[in-house]
Amino acid sequence: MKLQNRLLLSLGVMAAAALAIGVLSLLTLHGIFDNQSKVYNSGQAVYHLKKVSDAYGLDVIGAIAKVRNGDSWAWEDGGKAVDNAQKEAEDHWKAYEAMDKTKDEKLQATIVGALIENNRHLMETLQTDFAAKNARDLEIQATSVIYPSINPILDNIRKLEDINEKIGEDAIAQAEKGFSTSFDLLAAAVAVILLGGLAVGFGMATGAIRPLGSLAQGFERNVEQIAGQSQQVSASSIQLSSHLLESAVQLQKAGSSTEQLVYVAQQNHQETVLARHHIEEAESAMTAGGESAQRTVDYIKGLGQGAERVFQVVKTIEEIAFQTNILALNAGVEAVRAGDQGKEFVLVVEEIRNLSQRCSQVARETSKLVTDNVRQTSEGVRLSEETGKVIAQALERSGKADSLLTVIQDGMEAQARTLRDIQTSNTNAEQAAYRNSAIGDRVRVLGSNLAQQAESLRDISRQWVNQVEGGPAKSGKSAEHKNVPAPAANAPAPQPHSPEKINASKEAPVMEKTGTDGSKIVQFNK
Amino acid sequence: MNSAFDGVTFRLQDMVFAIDALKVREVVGGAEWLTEVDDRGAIQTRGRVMPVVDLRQLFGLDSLEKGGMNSFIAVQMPGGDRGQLAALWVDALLDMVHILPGGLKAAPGSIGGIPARFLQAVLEKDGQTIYVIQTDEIVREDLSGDKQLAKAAS
Repeated sequence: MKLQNRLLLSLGVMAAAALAIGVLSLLTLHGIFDNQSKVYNSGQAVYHLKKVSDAYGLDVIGAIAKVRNGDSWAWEDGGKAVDNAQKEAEDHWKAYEAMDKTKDEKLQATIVGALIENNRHLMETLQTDFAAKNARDLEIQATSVIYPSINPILDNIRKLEDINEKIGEDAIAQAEKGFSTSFDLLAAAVAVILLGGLAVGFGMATGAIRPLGSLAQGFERNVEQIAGQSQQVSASSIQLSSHLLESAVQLQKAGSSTEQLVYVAQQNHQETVLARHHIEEAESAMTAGGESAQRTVDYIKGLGQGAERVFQVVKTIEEIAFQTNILALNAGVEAVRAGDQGKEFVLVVEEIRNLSQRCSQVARETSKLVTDNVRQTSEGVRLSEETGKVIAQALERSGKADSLLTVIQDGMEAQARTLRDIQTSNTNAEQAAYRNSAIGDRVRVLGSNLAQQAESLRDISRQWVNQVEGGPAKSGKSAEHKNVPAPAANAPAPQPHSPEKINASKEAPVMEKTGTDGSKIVQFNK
Repeated sequence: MNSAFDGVTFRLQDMVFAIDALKVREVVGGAEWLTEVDDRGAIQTRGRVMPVVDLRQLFGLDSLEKGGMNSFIAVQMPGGDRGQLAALWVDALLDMVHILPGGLKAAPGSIGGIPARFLQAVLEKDGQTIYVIQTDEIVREDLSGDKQLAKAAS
């Protein structure tokens, strides 16, 4: 080539380089001024983000701390605190989203950092809370699913923090380098830089972008991992919530059947008491009857003794009749012997004979009466004694029945006590189950919030990567992610989402360090 | 037995007998039994001792229980001292009866265990059959076994 042409080419290239560098510097300056003018906005955005972080970090952690201390009613307060915190967080998040999204890397880093900080607090708190209540209140199965999901997230978050710091440092370094480079070039634009200047500028541009691009890709991949894992957490917590609710419902059913048992036991107990009362009444009636029978026996025996006396009297009367008869006969015989002289005597004899006959008759009748009476009396005594025996037997039997009933009654009282104990422990278990169900619900909500924020993170990262690389992100999975479903804060426990995702999350991601330009880069492999 | 006479009636088992009142010295009740002398019972009343003629045994019946309410008819011993009496042991003393000869009928021979020679006549009165017996023969025969009394009787 001719020397003149080579000079012209060099001048043209230098001019082009100077122009390019000047444009670049202007853009940088513009960016800086843009950045300066947006300090107020970014400050506000950061403020909102910080409020979100505070809402989650302080209020929820505080409520959870209260509950961890064992204050069972603090679950209510904790739930309310979480609700308030969520509302506040949402408000601030909305405010943040309503603002102009800044394109400055430093600001992006701050935003991302705030989000990460927020989630980090959240997940650490959840982890420690689960650890505290693992054996007592929560389903071990559920926590064994959530636990492995949380750990990788925390690891990734820490790595993200490292990346974030790196990004921030690099961005600042880049900006400073950009400044110094542009000034140096402007100061010595015409005289010093030729291809070397252009080459340096070009090399700088490519050298800066590649690490940034790789970092952005790595970052986006990481964010997608977080999104996936937070989805898993959400799914697990939904599962846990439904499981706990089910247990609570079943406990309530058991409680109602126990209540029925208690009612029936009470009814039986009342009937037993009534039966005993009847027996007592019957016993007292029988005892009265027995006493009356005994009195009758004594009376009749008394009568018998009287009858004995009557018998004696009758015997005497009979003897008198006998003697009187003999006297009459003797008188009659004498009268016969006396002949005519005894005719007047015969009248006397007649009188005597009549008297004796009457005596005999009376004696006979009385004797018969007394005999009958005695027979009746002894019969009466026998009957009374038999009645007494029967009553005594009946009393004995009723005594046995009464003691049987006492045994039954004691048994029923013991049964009632046992049932009441069962009822009490059932009620306690019910309450605990409902509390656990409430916990599960909170966890579910927090998990879904986490998923939501991870989604937002992904959006931000995509935007950032787009800006950095000047096009759509080149990571392989941007078009393939499903959307995390928007959860309602108070929805009842639905079916768990995407069970296949839960099974695939068990392996922890492996770290590998690859250096392409000699700079320390951290990449994640699946 | 051609004239009317008065009799003392008594019962033995279920039969009613009558004895001539003139033969009866006394009816006795409430006597004191004495210990047996030569297998014979005797009673004592108002200081007098009388041998007992067990009519039941004589008529083939079982004897009654000895007791204070036993009834006897004291009759004179035949042929003996007017003071010597024998006590006929009867079941129960009944009444005096006035017997007319027209009412008497001949004894039908022996009745049960009662030999015909003891029966004198039969009387129907107020639907009741009364056997009139001869006591002398009864006493004589009963006491004939007793040497002392037989000696006294003869």
